[in-house]
Amino acid sequence: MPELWKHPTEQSWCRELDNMLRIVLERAKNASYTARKLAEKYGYLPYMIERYIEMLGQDNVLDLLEANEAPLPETIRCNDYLIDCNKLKNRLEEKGFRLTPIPQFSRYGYRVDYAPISVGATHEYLQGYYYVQGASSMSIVHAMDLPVPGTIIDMAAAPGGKSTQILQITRDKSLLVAVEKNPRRIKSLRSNIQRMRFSNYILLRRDSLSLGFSNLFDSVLLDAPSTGEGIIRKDPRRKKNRNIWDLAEIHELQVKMLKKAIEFAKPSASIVYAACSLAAEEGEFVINRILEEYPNIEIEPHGLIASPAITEYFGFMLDDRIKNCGRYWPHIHGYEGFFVCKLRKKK
Amino acid sequence: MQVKKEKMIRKASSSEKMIIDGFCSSIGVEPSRCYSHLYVLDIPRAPFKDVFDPSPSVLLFLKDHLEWNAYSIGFYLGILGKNKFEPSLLLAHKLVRFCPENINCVTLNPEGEKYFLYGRPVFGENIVSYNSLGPVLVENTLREALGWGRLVSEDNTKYGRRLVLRPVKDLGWYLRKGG
Repeated sequence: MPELWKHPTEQSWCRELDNMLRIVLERAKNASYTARKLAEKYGYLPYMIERYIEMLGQDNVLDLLEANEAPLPETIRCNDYLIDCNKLKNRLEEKGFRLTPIPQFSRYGYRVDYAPISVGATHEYLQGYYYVQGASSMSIVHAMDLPVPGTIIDMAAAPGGKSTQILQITRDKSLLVAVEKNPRRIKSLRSNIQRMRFSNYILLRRDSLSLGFSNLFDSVLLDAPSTGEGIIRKDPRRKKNRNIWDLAEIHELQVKMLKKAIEFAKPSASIVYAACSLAAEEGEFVINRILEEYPNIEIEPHGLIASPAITEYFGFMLDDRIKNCGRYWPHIHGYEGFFVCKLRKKK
Repeated sequence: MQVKKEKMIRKASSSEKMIIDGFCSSIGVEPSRCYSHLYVLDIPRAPFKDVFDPSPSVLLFLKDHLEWNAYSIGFYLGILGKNKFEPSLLLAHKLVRFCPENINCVTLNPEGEKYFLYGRPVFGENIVSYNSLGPVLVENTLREALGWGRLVSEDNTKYGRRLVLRPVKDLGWYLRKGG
């Protein structure tokens, strides 16, 4: 059994780790017999299963693990800035596609029940008439306030699903500042924004943490870098390729980025925080730390079909307001796992 | 991760403007229909520059908050080489509505569209209509832009003289370059 907690170069960093999180991760690390057996059966690291049991209870964990074994249904988001969505549906169906609307996630969303060719290789895709995007992912932007005109920032924007959706909903009339530090990923972001024919944007190849904007944006989106536990169905390697130390490190990064998001937002502006993860450490725990530190931050209803976020974890009671944040579960909602929370910076 | 400082965006010079205006005229479009503002992003060590037509809100934000530094901005017009302008696909989408006004457009049938989007030449039998030879905006019968091409008349030992549309930049490029 490898030592998951210790990291040779980061002992000082570990000392700075939030005390509650440290205790939680220590408990998760000492996985129970049941967690170890399930981890062995489904191919996960035991600490992950221990946490899922804590969040969902043993029966529901089996449902989650089984749901994660099925492939993720393919979904697309129609770009109604360029084409009427019924017209797009008809065009694709004439080519042999079978599509089902998923209005519970987005009024522009369709599940692809059958595709005679790859959804990323049609003429309609090349025309920018749709974007291949997860159902939970496309719902997140609907939690945002999107003033027109306005100035909006997407702090971790590649490959551009949510950025293009923001420009679509604002009809290219609000200015979007899209930030991405990865040089390879920013190219696909640029390509997707151009393919979908938007023009009211600025792309910055920078780390959001290095930006000095203050009280500037009407709306902020932070779809934070995460362990990706929410897309195990798409990438089963994620069952094993993140250890507890990775999780703790990502949590710290998410907290830092969310603090930056608060700095970027104008007084009374909203901030939508999302993470494509099932981990409470990347969702509820991040928000809990923010609420402790910022008395001027409030949680607002997100208006999505997501389940209430958890407020109790390994014996710790989190801020009760966190129940107003949301969670998408693969075994309940049918698509990627996601955490979402809508915050408002009070004047 | 090391993040490089971004490049500087500036107003196009009069010689740069002249090249772009020349391109617009070559396809029969008034330059004022191609762009409103002309801005250029110099790419270090590259023999070309990116050209944009930014909105007033983009310009204001660049000036007030970014000291004119950015990786990219909208509206992307194309690439400017030493004496040559390569138009973007976005510009094709913008100008396609002028095709009925006798600008240099080629209309392809569905089979021609397929060839063109695979980056292959299209021959006369798949060309529905055209105005003149040379640089052309390529569209399908639904009046959707497919990209840019060069229409030529070539001698062929088997078919004699025939029209050939050679792709310059087509929408399939998004896929071939890997998304």
